[in-house]
Amino acid sequence: MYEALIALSIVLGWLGVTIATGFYTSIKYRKKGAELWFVAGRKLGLLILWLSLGANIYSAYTFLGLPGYVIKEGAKVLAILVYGQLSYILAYLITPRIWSVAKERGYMTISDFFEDRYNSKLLGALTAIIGALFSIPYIQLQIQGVGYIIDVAGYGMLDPFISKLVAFGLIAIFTILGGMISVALINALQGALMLFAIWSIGLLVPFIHFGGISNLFNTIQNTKPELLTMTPNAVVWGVTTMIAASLGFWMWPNRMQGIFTAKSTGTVKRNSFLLSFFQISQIPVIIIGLTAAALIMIGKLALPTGPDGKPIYDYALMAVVRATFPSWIVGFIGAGAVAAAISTAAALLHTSGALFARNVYQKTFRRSADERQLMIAARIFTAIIALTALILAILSPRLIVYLLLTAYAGVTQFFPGVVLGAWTKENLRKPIVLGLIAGVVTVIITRGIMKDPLNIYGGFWGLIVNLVVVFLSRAILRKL
Amino acid sequence: MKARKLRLALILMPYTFIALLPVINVARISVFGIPFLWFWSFLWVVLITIIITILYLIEIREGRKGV
Repeated sequence: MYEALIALSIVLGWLGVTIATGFYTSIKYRKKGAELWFVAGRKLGLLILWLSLGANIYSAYTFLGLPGYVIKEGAKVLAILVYGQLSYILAYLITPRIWSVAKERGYMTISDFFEDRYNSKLLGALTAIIGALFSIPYIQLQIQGVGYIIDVAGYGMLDPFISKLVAFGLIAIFTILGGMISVALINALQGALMLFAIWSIGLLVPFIHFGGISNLFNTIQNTKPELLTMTPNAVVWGVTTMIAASLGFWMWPNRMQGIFTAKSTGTVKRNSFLLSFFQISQIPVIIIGLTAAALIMIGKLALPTGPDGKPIYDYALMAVVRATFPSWIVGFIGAGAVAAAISTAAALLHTSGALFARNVYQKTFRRSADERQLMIAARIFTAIIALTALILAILSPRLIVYLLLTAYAGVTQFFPGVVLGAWTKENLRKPIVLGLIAGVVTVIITRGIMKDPLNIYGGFWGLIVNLVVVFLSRAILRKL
Repeated sequence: MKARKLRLALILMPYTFIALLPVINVARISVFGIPFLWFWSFLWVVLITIIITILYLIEIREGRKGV
């Protein structure tokens, strides 16, 4: 009871501080209107942009998903660890071109790009809707993650259902409170806490429980060695995941917007360079996951179970922290992780709402819509996405990394259209539409219905089908 | 031209991680107490950051020359 009070009040107190900051900035910038809501008036300074991107890559997936995945799937987590870095290196290959095309034509969003480049309103609307559709699992994993943290910080006082509702409420508050400016400033506040939390527990926990890293690995080697190597199937899965997910990384509507709104292509490259340092912080997170796995194996740690009686792996990080440290530390770690999840969810919800308002509502249904109507449309759509994610989090919770990879598989399907659009002059409207639809359907089948058939990642399947359809239909259309 | 080739080589270098994954997938050998597969992966995460740092430095230098 006492412990729950301390931990929960630190989590909520920290959020209170960030909400106050958000409030202050949204009141200060309110008058600037819809333009601000969309791209923060195109005037994001480098520091704020960097922190905003940085906090964006830390989410419930980093804190909770990676450790949970280590326990469930072992060495497969290494593919997840590396693909992020591959994405940053890809930035040097693909973003300069995309940036200059966007600058030249004045694109603000990925849907602007598709619509104008391929001269197709359908593609504009389609990309907005597909982006939103696959942001649902991404939002869902944030809700689940925040729910787990609130649950652990409540020391069993709160029902998990209530925890998820609280999580949703927090995300809703943060999303409603302001445009990108306030989100970015909130992120700036949170970056330090997150870095500190990850490195301190990641370095301390294996020493406290096992006296060091090598003993930690020895314990796993002696109790569950299969966690430490990849089966041949896992290698195939890992390779296809690293390729497809790293290509998909920049296709997220919010990241694309980040490229389009950067002051120069040098800014994007500088961000990738700075962000790749953040990525190193995933190593201590994985170490925490390994520690949790070893503790479970020797019977010193138990994870909460779901309705089906199976352990919920994504509790691992918080469970280790709670088993190791006093409640005030649980509070601070929880606050950092909650903040990371909420900022990511809010940024993504913003982008999805804005995309819908501009590229579906305004361009397809209501050309005459004024700024106020656009804002309302954006908010209603944002609410629909968030509520859908909440319902899924309650009715059909999944492993966090599983949700992440489903979301990535979806947005990866934008890749052929973006690359062909930026590098060629040809108007491939029909092939791109067909390829995109085929890719998305393939992803739904290979992620939703089957589970990565033949151990090939669903996003990779989608990409292959997508590309084949693009080139086949191009060849056929040319012959007609 | 030379810088361009170097840059491409640097960008492609991390893909050796992917290419070599089936070969280095062993846990029995360990480095500093860390099974080799894990050590190799952690090492690459740091190496890629270093590669990106070099790429960025090349970028800045070329920017100064006005390329």
